[in-house]
Amino acid sequence: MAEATRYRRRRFRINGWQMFACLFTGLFALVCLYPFLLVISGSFTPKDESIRYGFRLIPHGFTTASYQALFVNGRTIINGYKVTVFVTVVGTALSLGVNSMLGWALSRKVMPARKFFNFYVLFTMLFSGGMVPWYIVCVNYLHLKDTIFALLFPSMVSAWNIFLLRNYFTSVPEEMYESARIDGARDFRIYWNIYLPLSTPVLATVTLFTALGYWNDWWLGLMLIDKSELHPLQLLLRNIISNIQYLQTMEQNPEIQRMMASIPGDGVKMALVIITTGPIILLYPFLQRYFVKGIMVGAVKG
Amino acid sequence: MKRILSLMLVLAMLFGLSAFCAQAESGLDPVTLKFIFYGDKKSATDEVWAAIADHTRDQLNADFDVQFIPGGDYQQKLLVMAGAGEAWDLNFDSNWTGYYLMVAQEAYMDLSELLPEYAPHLYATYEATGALAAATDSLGRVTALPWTMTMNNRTHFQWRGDLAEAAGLEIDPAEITTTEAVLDLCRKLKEAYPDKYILENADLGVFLQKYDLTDIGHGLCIDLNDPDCTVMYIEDTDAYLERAQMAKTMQDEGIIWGDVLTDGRDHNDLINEGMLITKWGTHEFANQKRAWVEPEAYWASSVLYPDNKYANRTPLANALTLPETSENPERTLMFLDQMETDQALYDLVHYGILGVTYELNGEEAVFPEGMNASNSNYMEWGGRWAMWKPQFMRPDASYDEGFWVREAEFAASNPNNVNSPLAGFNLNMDDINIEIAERDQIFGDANKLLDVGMVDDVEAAVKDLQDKQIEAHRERVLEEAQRQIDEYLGK
Amino acid sequence: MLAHTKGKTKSRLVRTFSEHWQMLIMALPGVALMFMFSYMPMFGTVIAFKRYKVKQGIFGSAWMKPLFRNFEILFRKNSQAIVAIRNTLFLNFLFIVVGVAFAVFLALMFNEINNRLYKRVTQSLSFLPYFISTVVVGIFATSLMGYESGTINSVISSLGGEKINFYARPGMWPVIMLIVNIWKGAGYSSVVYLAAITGIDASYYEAARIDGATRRDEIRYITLPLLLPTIIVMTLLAIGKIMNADFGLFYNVTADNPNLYPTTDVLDTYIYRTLRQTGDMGISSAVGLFQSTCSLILVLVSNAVARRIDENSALF
Repeated sequence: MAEATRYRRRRFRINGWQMFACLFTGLFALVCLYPFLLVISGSFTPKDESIRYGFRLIPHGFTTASYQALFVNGRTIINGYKVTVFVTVVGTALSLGVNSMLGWALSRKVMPARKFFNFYVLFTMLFSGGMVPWYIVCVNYLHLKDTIFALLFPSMVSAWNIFLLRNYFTSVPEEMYESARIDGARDFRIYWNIYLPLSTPVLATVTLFTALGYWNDWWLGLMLIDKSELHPLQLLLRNIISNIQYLQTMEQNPEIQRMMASIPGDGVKMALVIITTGPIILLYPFLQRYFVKGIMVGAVKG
Repeated sequence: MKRILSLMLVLAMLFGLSAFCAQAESGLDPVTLKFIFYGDKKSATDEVWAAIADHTRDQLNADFDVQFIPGGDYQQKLLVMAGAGEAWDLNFDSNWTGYYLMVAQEAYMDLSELLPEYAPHLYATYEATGALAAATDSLGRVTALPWTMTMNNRTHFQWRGDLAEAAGLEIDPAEITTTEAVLDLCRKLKEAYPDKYILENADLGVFLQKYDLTDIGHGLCIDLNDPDCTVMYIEDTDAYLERAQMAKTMQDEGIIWGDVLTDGRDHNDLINEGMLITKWGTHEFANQKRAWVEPEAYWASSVLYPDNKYANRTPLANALTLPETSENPERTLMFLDQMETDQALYDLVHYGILGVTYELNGEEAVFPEGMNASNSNYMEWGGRWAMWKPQFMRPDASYDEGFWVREAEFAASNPNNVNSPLAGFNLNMDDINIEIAERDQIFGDANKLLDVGMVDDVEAAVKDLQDKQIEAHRERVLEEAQRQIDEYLGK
Repeated sequence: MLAHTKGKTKSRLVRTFSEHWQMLIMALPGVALMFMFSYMPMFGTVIAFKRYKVKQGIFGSAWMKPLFRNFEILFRKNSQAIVAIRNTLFLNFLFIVVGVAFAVFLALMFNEINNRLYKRVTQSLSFLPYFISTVVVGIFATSLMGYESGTINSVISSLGGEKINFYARPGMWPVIMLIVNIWKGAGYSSVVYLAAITGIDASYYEAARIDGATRRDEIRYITLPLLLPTIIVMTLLAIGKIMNADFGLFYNVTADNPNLYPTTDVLDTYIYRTLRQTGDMGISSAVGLFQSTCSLILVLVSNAVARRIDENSALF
């Protein structure tokens, strides 16, 4: 009886607060959704209409010209998809492994030269040698040019992700590590069998960020790949946009003006957003469950 | 017996020798030439260049590896590749894609000796047009192969002839020769069409032209009548103040529309749609075919200040360059030389493979069925302008028969179209890199607003610009520029 | 050193190695990759002090006379560079403080929702702005805030009010940029905090509830304190980038309008305009070095402060 009253009381208390939370998040979600709907409709808006009337939620005309402009080289785009998917899957897996191992090692108090390595990682976030030296290292010393490794390795290790992972690993009670070591387990097994399963939220988060990073990357392809077979999707799409934008800033130049006739409108930039977002949105629900589990009434973690 | 043997030996030697000679004569080592061009790589590019390799097999024995760098990254990527010491054989470059930067970095090869030897026809064309002067520095080093077209970009004012007619405006192009006349015309158009955008800005070049001045970059100018080429600050000239005042007038009267700076729409699109109805143009664009939305639209145009001097466009507007690291400069030059004389090669390079990438309509090269400039599989590739040859050019979608001949005639027709005395001059910024960077930034920031008249008080804004430049040590830039110019002119 | 202590030290080192050699092997790939891609190129920072010529290479190029000349562009009195530096610091500070607070608040709000479907949908939607490129954001911004034909002004004038010329009033823009920045990044950042909240052991909440705590108490006494390490780490990481601004965001949303430079010109946009024609690599390298050094100093200071609050969260 007392329990039922308490339950009822709890529900009532929760409702007021919950309503506010629902309202707030709902409002924010709408503010995030509306511009995205504009982008979708903008990608189907004919160029004439976008020039005359701008972008509206429901366009009067309808065209797939913006998408056609991006897919003009159908075969190359499909190849780009293959490259990008491969790089994203392999790169994310490897990156997750590398970053989490280093992050875990840094979270252990017994790690030799721990402070030094922490600073070592931090420093890379702050200082950079610049584009030309980086390029020289990648091409002349590491011989990465025109190889698939050029798309995988330069961005594989990330100080940001390492610190996120390290932070989460330190929040796991130290007793788990100590008792496991007393039981005779070695470091790697402890990491693999104990810490990783306990860290699914942060692993899901880092997987998401890393996958997004690889999926959206065009910089590595631009700098290090000349062979068109290895061009990732984003690079191909971005080239089209980059040409448009650059041409628009160089209006007065006759060569540019000659090329201007062939430039599709702003709708192409919108179509690019949609194409970029599309596939990765599919990944999101799978990962989402790991970080929205939260506290549920009646559920108890064992 | 010994005689037969020695005879056989001699014969064998002769045979071997002749085989060797034959090899050296007609058989060159196969090489791969790496070219870099501007913009998008079209889908049939590799196919076409394989055909080009076949066509030139006997003369060059070369295969081609053609790469494209997108426009926005062109300058940066070339610089980075040069910085890493990468080897390629030929690339497009121009005064608007950072040619001067690469030269300042000493990234381009000196062609003064190789050019006459391996590309004699090309060299002869250069001798005839004098274009090579622009690519030659004071030490006689030739660092680029400019294009061989002549054109003059003397400012024209273009307006929608059909709209003027429809509004009953009687306009005689011969009278629109001054900026006051332009302002007057704009006012009439604004009255007739209050809802349309009339003009996008007040072009600085026209006002400079009024005083025979020419912009030499970084906010400096010279008087084309001045044999000493005395360098002046543009912000100090009457031309600059007048232009700023006219821009403000135009802004206040709504001729330049209020959102012009934030309006992200492309102005060419606005023109095609008929929403923007005048433009500062050139002879080329006044006569070019355009993708009008309204079928009866056409440009009426007039030349401005025909009696004032205007510098011909620098031949470095489109050029080809060879990097220091090029491994086969001779073969590359031979390729370019063949372009001077071989129509078939020219067609292959510019238009591609007949039936696959282009069709012939008489003499005109047209897109294959269903293609246009934006989705073509080869035509209209970026960078080809540097290889345009007036003697071989076919009419195409943008330019009809004899267009470029008429351009050259236009350039030659007016005695006031002169070559700038500083055509080959390239300012060495080593000692003043900071001052120039600051000057560019201050000038650019102020110009952007003065261009469209978005200032409250014109005189105050110009004075402010001058003060800021003085504080940024503009005199160091002037002195250094003048010193280098004097040296260039051989004083 | 006495013979027996020397032996002890050596054996302690050997012991650490033999017990934790796996840990070092695990750290090796990350350390090696960082060395290759971050440390090896660092020799290039000398370009900031040199007159770099591609032909002579990085080491063959001559040194600048005087050595710090490339840095002069940042320090001239009355230079726009000073404005840009000030704006960068101020705006980024604003972004960090409000951004972290908002992202944490958003995560807490998501966490409060009971209905799983509602929670998942709203959380997914909050992520969408991250995907919209800054160029498209710029297109929307200008069509929203344009003077003659912008949406806001059309609404205002149809209601009889006086139009606001947004692009001529720099004073409003720190707030505008803040709103845009938060809109774009909150969903992305909140994921980190959500993940941290998910990791909090439910037994803490159970115990609190038994003691009669309200929801608000739970947040105040359990969630937030346990979230603090993550907040600290995220803040420190953000401070590491405090001298760098998102170029795309500032360039596109302000439409590069000079009227707005007093409050929105940041170091990255300033340098872009300055080097557009000269492309001077010495200057850009010098500015990069300046940004890095400032970030380093600020991170060291903040890190020391963070170590006082919570030893474990400090970055090193």
